[in-house]
Amino acid sequence: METAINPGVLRRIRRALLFTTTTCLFLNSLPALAEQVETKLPNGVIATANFHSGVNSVPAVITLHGFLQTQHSPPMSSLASNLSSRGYTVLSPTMSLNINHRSQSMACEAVHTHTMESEVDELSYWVSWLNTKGYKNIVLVGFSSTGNIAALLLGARNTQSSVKHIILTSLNPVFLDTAERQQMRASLNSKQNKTAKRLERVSLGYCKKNYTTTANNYLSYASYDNNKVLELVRDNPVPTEIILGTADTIMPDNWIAKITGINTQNHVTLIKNATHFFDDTHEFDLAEAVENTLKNISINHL
Amino acid sequence: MKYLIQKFGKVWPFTIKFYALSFIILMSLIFGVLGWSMQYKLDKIRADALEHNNQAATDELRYVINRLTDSIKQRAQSISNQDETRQQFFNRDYYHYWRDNRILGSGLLPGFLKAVELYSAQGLALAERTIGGMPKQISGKEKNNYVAYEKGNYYLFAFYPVSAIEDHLSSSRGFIGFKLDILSALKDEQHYSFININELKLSLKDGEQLPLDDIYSRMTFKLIPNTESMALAASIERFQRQTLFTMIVLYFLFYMMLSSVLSAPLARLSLHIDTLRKGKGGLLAQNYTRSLPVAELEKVRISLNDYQNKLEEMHHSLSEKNDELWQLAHHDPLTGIYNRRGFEEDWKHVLSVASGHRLGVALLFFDCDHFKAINDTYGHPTGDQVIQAITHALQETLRHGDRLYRLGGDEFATMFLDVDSSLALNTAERCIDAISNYDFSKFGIKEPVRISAGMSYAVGTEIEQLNRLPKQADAAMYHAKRPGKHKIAVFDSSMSNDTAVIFSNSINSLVFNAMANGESIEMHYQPITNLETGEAVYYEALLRIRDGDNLIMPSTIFPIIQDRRMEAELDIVVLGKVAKDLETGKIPPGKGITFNVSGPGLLDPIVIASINSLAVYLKQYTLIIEVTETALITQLHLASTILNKLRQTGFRIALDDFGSGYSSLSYLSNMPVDCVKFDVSLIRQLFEDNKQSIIIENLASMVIKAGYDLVAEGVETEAILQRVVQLGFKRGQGFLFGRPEKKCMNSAKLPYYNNIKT
Repeated sequence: METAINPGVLRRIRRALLFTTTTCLFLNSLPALAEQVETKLPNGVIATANFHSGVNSVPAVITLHGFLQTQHSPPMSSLASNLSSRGYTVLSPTMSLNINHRSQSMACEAVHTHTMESEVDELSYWVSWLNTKGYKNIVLVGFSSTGNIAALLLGARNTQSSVKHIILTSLNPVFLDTAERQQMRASLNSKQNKTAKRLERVSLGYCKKNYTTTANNYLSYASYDNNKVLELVRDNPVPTEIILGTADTIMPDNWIAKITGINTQNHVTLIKNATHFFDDTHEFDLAEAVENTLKNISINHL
Repeated sequence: MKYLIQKFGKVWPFTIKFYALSFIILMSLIFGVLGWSMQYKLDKIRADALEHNNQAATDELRYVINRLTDSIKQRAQSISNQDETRQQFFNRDYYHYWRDNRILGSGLLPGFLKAVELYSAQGLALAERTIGGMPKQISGKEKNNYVAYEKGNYYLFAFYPVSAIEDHLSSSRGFIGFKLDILSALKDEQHYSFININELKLSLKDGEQLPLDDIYSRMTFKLIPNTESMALAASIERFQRQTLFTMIVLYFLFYMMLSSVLSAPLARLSLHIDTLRKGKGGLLAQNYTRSLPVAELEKVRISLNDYQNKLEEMHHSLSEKNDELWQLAHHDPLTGIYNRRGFEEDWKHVLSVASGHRLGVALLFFDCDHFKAINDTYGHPTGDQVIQAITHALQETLRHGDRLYRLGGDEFATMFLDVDSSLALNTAERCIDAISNYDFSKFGIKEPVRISAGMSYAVGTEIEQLNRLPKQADAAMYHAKRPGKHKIAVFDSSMSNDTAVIFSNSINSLVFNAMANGESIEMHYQPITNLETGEAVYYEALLRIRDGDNLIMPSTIFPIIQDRRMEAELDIVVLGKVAKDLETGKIPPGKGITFNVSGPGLLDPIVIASINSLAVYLKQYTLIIEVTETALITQLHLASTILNKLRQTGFRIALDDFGSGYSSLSYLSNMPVDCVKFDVSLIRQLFEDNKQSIIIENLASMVIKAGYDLVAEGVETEAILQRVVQLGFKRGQGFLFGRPEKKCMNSAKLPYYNNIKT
């Protein structure tokens, strides 16, 4: 009985084996330096991150998890692991979202006091933290909506020169109900003083009518719709690499075309058949794509 | 004890029903004890199971409460581990939202959890306003779990530390407290195996706080009925009831079966046997035909019936034998008529019937005259034929239904009930005539055969008289048999003496004693006078027996002697006395003596020898032997021979009582007689004005002409004397000449002879 093997599958398997072999070679020459680190943010909240110290010849990577997730959430957790295993210094913070010692994904129903800006501030704090550790060539790898938007916003601030490159994976806008956003804006404008702390239940991201937060906090995220994101990408001063899965069903309609349609220096990598979370062996495709970018960065800019 | 033994003896042996009831009672007791034992064990098992279940329920309760507290602890741990929870200690801005929406409103907590609060490490509630009665502050003591009673409900307040995640080894960041409805919690907790959770009760005072560890002392509960054990117990009880019912039914059936199969048939069989037993030899009851359901009993029934049939056969056989015996006992084998036993039974019956009623009862006794002589002369076969002939003749004469009895020998009897005396007498006369007319010559008997009859009569109301009838008839019969009497005699009072004599033991004794030793016997001599001279020519020796001053006369002695057939013995005694008187010279010399010899005596060799012994006195005395014609007739040939020999010896023969018997001249001519003594009845007839007196006159004349000395008896008056002298009588005897005296007296000097002389 004969078994037919798909040539594409064979190629991915070969690639994964090659990535694993290379990783093993690096591991032989590198000490294991992964550790859980904490830092007290200016607001008093203690934020945590996983830090892996790699070789100095390659840029340090900060992986940014998705909306309400943690450093342990895929695909960034596996990517961080892959990169750290290949010698890259990888810092995987868990955005505190104003939660002291946050270690768990936040529920939509939980009270969300964080804003997009607080996340960017926290990301900036971690960049500085790496800087204090001596890492001056930093690549931000974002994921999904808030992770990518925070990286883009930090790049747009242009305050952290050590951020050399931004890699956006599964880039998405923040999904929202525009009518609701309008309502929040209107409400905020008329009763801002009285309702500053009033909690609302709104739709945001994958939270459907249960995201609990104040109008202000809501609007800090709700600004980043499709156009705003495309604008951020287009106007981002930091070189940006965009990696998208062709099977990502979360992306808005014609999103790839819109991304690729932006006439910038940004490079877009499409991983065929990869989903939003780069499931299965596509995590290796993602890692390979990210490393290719990181290699190019080290070759070209360091 | 003795009383009990007697009581026991009265009821022993027991009946089958008693045994059956005893068996049933015994089995009932056994099953009762077994049932009680089973019930006792069941109760013990129940008690043990109850105790075990109580213990298990207590354990179950402890387990459930422990599990509940563990569960709450896990929930507390889970909630404490949430970032949101710990965030409350860091920032309380949205504490109420967290408590009310994220915890209580999450829908993830059970309904029995009524309130939750967070407390700082110092025990202060994070909330400005605690809910559900949760304490504002908890002390060290209150940090332990406790139960409180509030508004009708029991609540468990449980507190657990919330650790700080940033430094796991540090002390708790605070506490999380729960308030939960403990009874609802316990109800929701699990499915209970032992406790009926709906019946679980707590007893706490309002406001009282009880440490959770002490809750068990305040809890009361009921057990869940153990359906299996209840079903088992119900099954056992049902089984016991069914067993009891079955036992009762079986006992009832057993009793009924025993009653119908054994007891009742046995009772009927026993009753049947009782009936047989009470039959007392009467007709046996019918066989027990109803078949019995038990083989052994059926065999007994068949055997009993067989035995009964054999008994019945035996009974019939015995009855037949009894009849035969009765026939033999009551009938005379020679004649076939009733015998003395039959007579006595019938007589008793007649007495019982007639006593007290005005019914005439006649009793007739018959006796064949000179039957012994007939027997001796012609032999017993001929005598038997004579008896049979007499029987036949009498039966022919008696009325149909009259019974004839042979009392023995030649004695017969018959009895008439409800008759008058004349009819009875008439019947008796016809009987005598029938015998007289019967032709006995066909048996070779030449002499006439006669019977004598004695009759007695009484009316049933004369009970004493009725009882004396047999004796009276006997006396009358003997009276009738006397020489010179009619062949039939009806008892009258004059025969009382005879009757008395015959049946008087004292006189009998005197007679027999006299016969034995001869001391009381006296010979009295009556002169027989020469009618021509008036001088006594000889004396008749007459027997007397002395009884003190009284003398027993021949009329009393002879019936006794004849009844015992002792005539010959008496003759010997008399002859002895005569011989003695002759010897002693009591008899005047030259005179003569005439003495009586009975018919049997005449044929008796000893008597004859005694007579011959007197021959020595023939030279001095004239010795005359008096015999009656009846004595001669029965053995005429032999008697004639003997008398001839005696005549040849020198004795003279006188025919006594001539005229009282046959008075046949042909017989007289053939008899060796020298002297004829006319019976007093003939002498008296001479004074009757009838043909008979003429015949007697001619008879006397003929006898005289034939050459006989003719003696007239009963010469008691001058007239008789003259008459007999006139007729030619030469001798005379009677009171006119002298009564019998102990001494030989001369004849009385009669004037008649004075006239003759002159």
